Amino acid sequence: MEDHQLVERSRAGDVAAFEELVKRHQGRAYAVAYRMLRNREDAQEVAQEAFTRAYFRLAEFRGTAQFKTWLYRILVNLATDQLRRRRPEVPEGDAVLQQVSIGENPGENVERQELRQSITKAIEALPPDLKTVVLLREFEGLSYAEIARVIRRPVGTVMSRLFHARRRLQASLGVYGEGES
Amino acid sequence: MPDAVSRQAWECTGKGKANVTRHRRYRHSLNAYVDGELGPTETRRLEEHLAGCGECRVQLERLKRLQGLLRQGLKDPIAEVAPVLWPGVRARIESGRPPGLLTRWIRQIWEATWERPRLSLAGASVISVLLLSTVYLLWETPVATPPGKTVVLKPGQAQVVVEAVETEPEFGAMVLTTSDEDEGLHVIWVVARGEM
Repeated sequence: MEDHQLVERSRAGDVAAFEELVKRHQGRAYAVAYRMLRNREDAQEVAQEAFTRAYFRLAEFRGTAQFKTWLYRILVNLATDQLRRRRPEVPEGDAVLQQVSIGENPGENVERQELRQSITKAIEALPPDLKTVVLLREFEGLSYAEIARVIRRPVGTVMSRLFHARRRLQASLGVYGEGES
Repeated sequence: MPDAVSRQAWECTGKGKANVTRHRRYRHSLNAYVDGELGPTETRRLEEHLAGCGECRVQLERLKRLQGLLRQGLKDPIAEVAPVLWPGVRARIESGRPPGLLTRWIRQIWEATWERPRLSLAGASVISVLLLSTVYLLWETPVATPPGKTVVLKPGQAQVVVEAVETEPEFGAMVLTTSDEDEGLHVIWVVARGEM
């Protein structure tokens, strides 16, 4: 069954249909939230809240957009609010990654760990608006038009933010990217 | 002294402000090119430019490398293993209530303005102008005495100075009375033609 059919059934009060929507999109929703927040509990909290708000706002959902895009909009707003409220702190991701990775293939994992830590730090250093477009583009594979709908900005703004975000990332990852632009 | 981009633009496209501008535009569109977001015409023009511009080719390679790094480096096992969210969502749905219409309107207005700082500023400016205009008009508009109401003024309480008085001849006539006791108080009567 397509998403829009599940949305229609959910609107009519079919909770099982909404459960199906949650199960279908929870993986990507959680991944987006986790990549923005770098904290598992916060990511779970934000993802659950996004689904809950989506449920109560189903009347506002218009079929012109995809459910996923509409859900991401709610999710990204919640995660961005959380980032703005949050005091600067060390993300848990790096520490947890070390526990997860060590012991499987030490040589390869140390190198990958270093790379991942550098990338994580470079992305963490981006302002929330730049970070959001990079994550939606690079990890979720959204088109410019879809990103524009998620962040409610023109496509030109998406392009501009991507340009600046990548310039900053190139500068931060100079060692891996072989020099600044 | 031209910057690095301008120098390169001169080298690859020839001197001139238009060429520098074109070069900068192509540099900006490299992102859309690696993302597959350029249309066929723009793609062809950029590829023609790339054939003659070493700096843009280097930048293109850097962008591709960065893209590869990001995708490879952030294959994050934690991000990819989502917890089961439905029980928590269901509990929230069961304990919550859908927002009312008023709440939804307020939220929509709030989101529309919060997410658009320029719109917020314009809205705040309009509201400020309206408020100031209202205050000014209320301040400047004399409060008229309601018809039929008698106002008793004591000596020295008020002074009315009439600078000029006119009326249409066909409307009627004007009578100006002055009290000797209340110096400075003049009462103007407008007598309609039928009452004369």
